[in-house]
Amino acid sequence: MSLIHINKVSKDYHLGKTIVHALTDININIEKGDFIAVAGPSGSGKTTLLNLIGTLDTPTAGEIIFEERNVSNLPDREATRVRATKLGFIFQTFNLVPVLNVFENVEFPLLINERDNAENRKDVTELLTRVGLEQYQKHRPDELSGGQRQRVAIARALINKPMLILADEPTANLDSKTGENIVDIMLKMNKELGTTFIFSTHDPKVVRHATKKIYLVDGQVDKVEGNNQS
Amino acid sequence: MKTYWQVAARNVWRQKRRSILNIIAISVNIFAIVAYTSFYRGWIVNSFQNITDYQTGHVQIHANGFLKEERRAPLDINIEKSLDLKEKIKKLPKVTAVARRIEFAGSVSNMMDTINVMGVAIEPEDEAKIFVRKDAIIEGSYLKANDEGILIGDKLAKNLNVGVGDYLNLYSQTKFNTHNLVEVEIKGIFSYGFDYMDKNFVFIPLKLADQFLDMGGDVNEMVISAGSHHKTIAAFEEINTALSPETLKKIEVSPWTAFAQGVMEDIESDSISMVILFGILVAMAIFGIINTMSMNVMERSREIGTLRAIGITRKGISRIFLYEAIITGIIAILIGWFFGSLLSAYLTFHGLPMPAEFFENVNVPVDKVMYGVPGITEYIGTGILGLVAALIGGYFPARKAAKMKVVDALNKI
Repeated sequence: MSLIHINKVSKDYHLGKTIVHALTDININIEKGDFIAVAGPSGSGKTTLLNLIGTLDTPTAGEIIFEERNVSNLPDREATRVRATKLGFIFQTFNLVPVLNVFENVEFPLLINERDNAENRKDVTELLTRVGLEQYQKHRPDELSGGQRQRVAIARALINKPMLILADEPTANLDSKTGENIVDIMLKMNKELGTTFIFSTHDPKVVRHATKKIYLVDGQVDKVEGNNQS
Repeated sequence: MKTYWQVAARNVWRQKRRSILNIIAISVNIFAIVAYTSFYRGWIVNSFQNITDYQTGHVQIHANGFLKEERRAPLDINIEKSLDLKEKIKKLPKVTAVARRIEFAGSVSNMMDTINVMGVAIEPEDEAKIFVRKDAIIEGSYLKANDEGILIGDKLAKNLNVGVGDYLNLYSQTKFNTHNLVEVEIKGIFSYGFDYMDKNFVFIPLKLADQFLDMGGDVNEMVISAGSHHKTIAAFEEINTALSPETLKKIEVSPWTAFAQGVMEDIESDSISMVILFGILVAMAIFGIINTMSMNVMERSREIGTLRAIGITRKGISRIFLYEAIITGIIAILIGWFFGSLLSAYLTFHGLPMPAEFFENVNVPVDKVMYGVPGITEYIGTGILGLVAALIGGYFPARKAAKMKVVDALNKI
């Protein structure tokens, strides 16, 4: 069943008088439960594609259909609502809130959605247990290793039970062993919770874990491997 | 809502150095305003008290036209039937004492030097119920109604090189513009610590002045006490209501403030100067907050981007920064109040001795030690001011943070 349909999407950036074509005529179909790697060298448009899917940015042309709704040019308030309720984000640099401890970082999306209740707080503990951080609940981000921080970010991305998690180079700031461990956790969550994952990477060792691989070169889809290859 | 406050509070703590700078910028102003206002109120209260106690009483009555020519202290513009009027006013509930007086221009001489003075003929007993007269005597004694004596200030005594028991010649023109003099014994020497009075004023009994100035029982001034300068308006209104229109046509009833225009103008101009000075200081504090909070926004761009990505609205981001400003403001207000109250309490209980040179330059009768008079107004005022300053200081950075594009914010290093 199609979760996202990316239809003829392009994105241009204006750098002074120069126009940079970050993405050109992208057509991708993403199914519910997919575990997708967007691979490609630096500057190939991976992050731009994830930003567009995540409603963090708007395309220059084309449309992005998310759950049968065009989300490519939503007003800021609605885009924020979509992100808060349907999407989860994992960043290369972890991006945890430094003044909140591990538990509070994971709990934070619940609080801003005003879903702060005992049941949801139980979910926080459960998710932290799933990512192996139950004993670090009171730790601040600066007291954790890179791998631990990224696991917190995964738990934070999952707490609202989103349809889709977008992870931009989630292993780039980690050593290869920790990186693989992070991908394993994401894969486990994908299988156990059925959450769709799209992650960008340029590391072939990480790519091989994906059930579907989209290769970008110079802002265009070079090839698609796995699943129905659409 | 609670979460935003929590995050804001921790961010204030996280940016300790900058928060401390912002807190100092606001709290120094609050401290200064709280302490200064207490001191300045003390000054005003003391000035008002002393003006009414030494010079004006609370309400004065003159015959119509007298005040226009007050400079020459006219003896021919007098209050009709002053004794009857005195008795009538004395019976009013809001009036505590009434005394009749003759103001006259004259000079005193020790046979070698002659000095021009402002003479005031008084009813000694009634005068003492309105003014601080007996307690101001530092040598000799206060006047009695039948004395042929004079009270002079310590500065005048020094200038004339005379003391209690010595005799002076007192010169003036009578009601009928003829020259006259009388030899009077110095009964007492007073000191108000206020050069204007101690150098220029002399007091003689009304009975002696009546003969000396050929007044035929007339007086040109009546002074009234309302008990306290706070009750002036009530007494003033009561007198105006109690007297018949015919009487009111012939006299002028004036509250003491009419005779203290200089002091009132000084207070007004001092207040304006202080508002301008504190305004500049507060504006500097606001710019300081805008600068430091803008730096916070720049440094926390990626964090702002992350928060926006995980679902916080622009309003939510703006709230976090505004709450940080409010928390900073509240801490600054409490610190400012605390230290301001300490200094204010010191001024209230211990007082601030004023240097001797100070009294040579002021035209307001104030005590040698000035005491603070704290009030709730400065706390309410500075509380509002501190919060408004913090909110204005926080508003622009908060707006900047809220307006950031999510992608741009996430890409900031």
